[in-house]
Amino acid sequence: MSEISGMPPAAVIQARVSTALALPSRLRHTALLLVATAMAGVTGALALTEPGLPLRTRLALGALAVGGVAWAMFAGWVLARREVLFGRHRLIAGWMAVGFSAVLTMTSAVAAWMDRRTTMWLPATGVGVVMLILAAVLLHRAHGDVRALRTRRDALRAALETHEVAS
Amino acid sequence: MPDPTIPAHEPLADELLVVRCLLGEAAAFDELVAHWHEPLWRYLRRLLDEDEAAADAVQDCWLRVLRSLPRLRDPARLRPWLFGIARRTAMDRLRAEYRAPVEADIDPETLMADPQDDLREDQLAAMHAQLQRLPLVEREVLELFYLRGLSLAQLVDVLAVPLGTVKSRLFRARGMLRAHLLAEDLSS
Repeated sequence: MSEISGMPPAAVIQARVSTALALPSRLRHTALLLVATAMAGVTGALALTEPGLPLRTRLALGALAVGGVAWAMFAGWVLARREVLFGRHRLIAGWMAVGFSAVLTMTSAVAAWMDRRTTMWLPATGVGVVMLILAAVLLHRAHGDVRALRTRRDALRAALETHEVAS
Repeated sequence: MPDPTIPAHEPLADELLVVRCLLGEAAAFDELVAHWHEPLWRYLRRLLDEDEAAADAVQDCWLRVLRSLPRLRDPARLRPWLFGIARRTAMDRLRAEYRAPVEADIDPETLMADPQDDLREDQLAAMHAQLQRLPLVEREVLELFYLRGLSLAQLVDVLAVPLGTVKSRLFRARGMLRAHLLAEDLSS
């Protein structure tokens, strides 16, 4: 594209778009969403279900849960509005979510099995299971959407090749 | 009247580009910018009437495109969708600048049928120079219809007004442009 007076070069826009699409920055908020959700879920469940906690401990856990919810909402908003995830980003984010939730669930379950004197690990295990199910659903949907897009891409390429041959 | 320079297969190519972007192919975003950056900048330059404002607006516009792309329901409609975003970007800037609505109400008396009279080649060439002298609403509709090749139906989407209003704006804009061209002919 030739340079036009006053117009920012396309290369500048392309560089900005590439930076905006850089994987680490886009997945940073996915990681924040996962960690914040887990933190909110675990601390919230403990505050609500664990018997015999002193009031100040319960309040501290509740405050941590509220903080986790706030961070999760912020990360969700960024991912929905500012750093939207495209096909391959959604697949990677989906696998990240599945992996993180699986680790959380297994760690909590092992801790619950090893420390049978208390039930404090059970809510964390429950939160992990719920997160794992949600992550699996999101990953399944991402795979379906990407498969549909690839099919459409291949069909369009074939249609354009046919058009070029015909003309 | 669609631009005859637009190949018939362009909607397919546009859709392919969008689908590749939705898949997250980095090269597709480069191609999208390479293909549409200049038309969008020219449109914004025409609306904002200033290089610096158009340069800021086109960068803002591309950010909006990037963020909104997953919500583009029909990838084959890339062209009106892009110009719609560019238009909203320009209107937001103008509103912020003037703190007042920039759209003038259409006088019902001016609503008339499109006479379907085509402009001559030399008038189309002169339009580039004369367009800048028209008010924003008329300048915009002529830019999108004649220079960016959008159809009447696509203009309905981009401008968010009924078809009759699009036609009346186009009719009035052509009349104003014709008057400018005639005045220039007489003065020269």
